[in-house]
Amino acid sequence: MPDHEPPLAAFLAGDLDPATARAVDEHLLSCDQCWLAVREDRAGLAIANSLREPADPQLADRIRLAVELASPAPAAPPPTSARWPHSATAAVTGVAALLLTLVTVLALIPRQAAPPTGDSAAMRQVVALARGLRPIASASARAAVALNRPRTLQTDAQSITVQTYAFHGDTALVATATTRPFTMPADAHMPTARAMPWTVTRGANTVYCPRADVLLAGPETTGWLAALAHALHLT
Amino acid sequence: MHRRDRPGEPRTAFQDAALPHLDAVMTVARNLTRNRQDAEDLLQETYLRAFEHFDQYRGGSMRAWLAAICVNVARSQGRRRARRPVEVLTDPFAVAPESPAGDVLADVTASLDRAVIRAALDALPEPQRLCILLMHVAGYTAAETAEALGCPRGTVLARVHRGRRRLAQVLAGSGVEHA
Repeated sequence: MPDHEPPLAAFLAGDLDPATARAVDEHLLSCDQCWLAVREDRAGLAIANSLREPADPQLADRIRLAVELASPAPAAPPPTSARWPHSATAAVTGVAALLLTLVTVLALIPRQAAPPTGDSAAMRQVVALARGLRPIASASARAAVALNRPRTLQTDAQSITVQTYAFHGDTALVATATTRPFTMPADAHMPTARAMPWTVTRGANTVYCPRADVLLAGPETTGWLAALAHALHLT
Repeated sequence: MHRRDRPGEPRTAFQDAALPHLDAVMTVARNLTRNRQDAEDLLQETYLRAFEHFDQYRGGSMRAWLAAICVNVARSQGRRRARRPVEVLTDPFAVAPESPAGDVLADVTASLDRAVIRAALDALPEPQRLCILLMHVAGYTAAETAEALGCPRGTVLARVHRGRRRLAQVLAGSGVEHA
């Protein structure tokens, strides 16, 4: 009975004034079709409610971190002419620090720019991807949180799956090889007497290999990449 | 002007306003996508877009605003997906949620029921489906649903009424139990 639908919808939502609601109520006693509509409505409501489910608690961390990554670090206030005399000393200090940094970098070039001979195409790709990582401003993620979905890449007949994780305030790239293991570069460092794990530095990042089919790349502080590998059960 | 470019306006204002509604928006996202991974991506894209356009938020219900963004993003992603070949994704680190011993049969039955109910919900006309999804699955009020979908509250009530009846009729013979 289509004529009954608008008042029934409002009636069921409790929207009708008392007099109209009473009239609909009385009508339901004598109209089987409308009474069926009410019963179907209530059953449909219970069915729809059964689809409710709580969100994964880790999601809040992931979303918070995604927003932080999308938000640039706060910029320093631009210098103004009025402030220039007061900041002149700071500027001179800054230039001196820049020169010192430049000299230091030049001095380190022979060591740091050691050619990554022996790096496989897969590892070069992992290192290149890790260069785009940014630290997380806050340390809100106590557990390892995936920041994106895994993606499979093909490099030099090697198939690798990469995913970015946040962990204790920083980010790292985790790569797993699906076809053949990662090869160890000639300049790799092995903290233990065994072949695994090994680490190697490439630019500002460290590559950590806890087992032959897994590489983690990110800014290394003592034990951080190893702790991430442990948290992800990759050791 | 972009919100995040304004000095002195911390992103925490956005996070404080938007993150409490994560459960509701995730429920919307989960029911607009085919799997958990897609739902999480849709949720993330929704929040990033909301953050990007936070300066356009004019008060009112924050979760209705988030739901409106979520529905729009899902629609545009659906259009893009229709134009693209299928993307193969893997999830080597996914850990299956632990189920208490002895509850396996109940879990399987529940998931089968959910799959049947979800299919019935998906088969509803989109206006009815979105109204039911927001009001009865995600817990929005009729007013918030109207705000999110940009239609009068009375229209929302009429749509949920028709949709609920249709759900009950479709599932009446399927063996799905409901209270």
